[in-house]
Amino acid sequence: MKLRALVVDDSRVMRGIVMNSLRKTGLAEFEFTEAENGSDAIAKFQPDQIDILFVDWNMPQMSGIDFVRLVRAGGKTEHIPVVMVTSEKTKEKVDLALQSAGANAYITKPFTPEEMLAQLSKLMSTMTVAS
Amino acid sequence: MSIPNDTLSIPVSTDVILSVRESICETFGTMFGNEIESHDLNEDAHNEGEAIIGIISYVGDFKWSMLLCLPKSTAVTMAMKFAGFEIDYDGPDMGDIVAELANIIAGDVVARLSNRGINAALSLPMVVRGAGLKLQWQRELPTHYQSFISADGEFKTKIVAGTPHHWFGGMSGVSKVSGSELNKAC
Repeated sequence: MKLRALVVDDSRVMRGIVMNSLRKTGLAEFEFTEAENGSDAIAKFQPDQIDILFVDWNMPQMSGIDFVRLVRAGGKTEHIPVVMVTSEKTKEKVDLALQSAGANAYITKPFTPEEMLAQLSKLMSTMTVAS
Repeated sequence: MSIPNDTLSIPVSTDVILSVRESICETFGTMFGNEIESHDLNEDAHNEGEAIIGIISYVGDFKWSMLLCLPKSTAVTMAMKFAGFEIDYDGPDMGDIVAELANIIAGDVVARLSNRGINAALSLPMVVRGAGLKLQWQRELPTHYQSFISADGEFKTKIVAGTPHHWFGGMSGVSKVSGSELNKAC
């Protein structure tokens, strides 16, 4: 299976860590697009060419949560899973992301390869992607 | 510059001090696989050599900032463990990593404060790097210093009342502050 993932984080190193951990899951062959904030992600996000989103919360210009809200507001992207990957870990923030903004999974930094594997496995069981 | 928040004259909260200490010992302890010892310091210990500092500001029930001060050798070791590969101390990726480490601790501190009934929200991290760094406040602001010792090296934190808007103008000894790093903080 091939997964086209958009990885949104203002830290280049963090984007690299997320991409490496995804590759190491061995669950799919990944093709990555990188964005360094919500505005950049909007410019690069084409729903018919992205299968899954990994989004940091705190970023300059446009936060990850605002980006996720915009993605979900379009109404045609419910099938694209959104994974928040963030250091925000209060219950309020988790609830905001999952219940209000429309994210599908929440991973807090620092995460382990096992956590990434578990979340991705769960999401992939519900996904329809290009093979 | 005026300091509008009266809370700046109140000593740094014990809850904040404990939350930062617990967060660093537990989070870094788990991340880097080391036991970490912490000690209170009575005064600002000057960073004699090269150091890199991640700064996060908090707003909420009160305004304060946390400075994570990593000497070069500690930063290099931690960065390699965090990224999984060697990171050039003088390159932009080192700033990225120290910002991320500060951010991870800050997020954990917010959660710990929330459990203690204290509301706090984070700024984006800012990173400064240089030799003989000493961050000077515009006036005497309540400050608490902690030292940490791990197998990866020593490092320090400073918890200061106020945000960089209150004291950033008085910074000395800083050789590198990039525009993007400053923009991240403001």
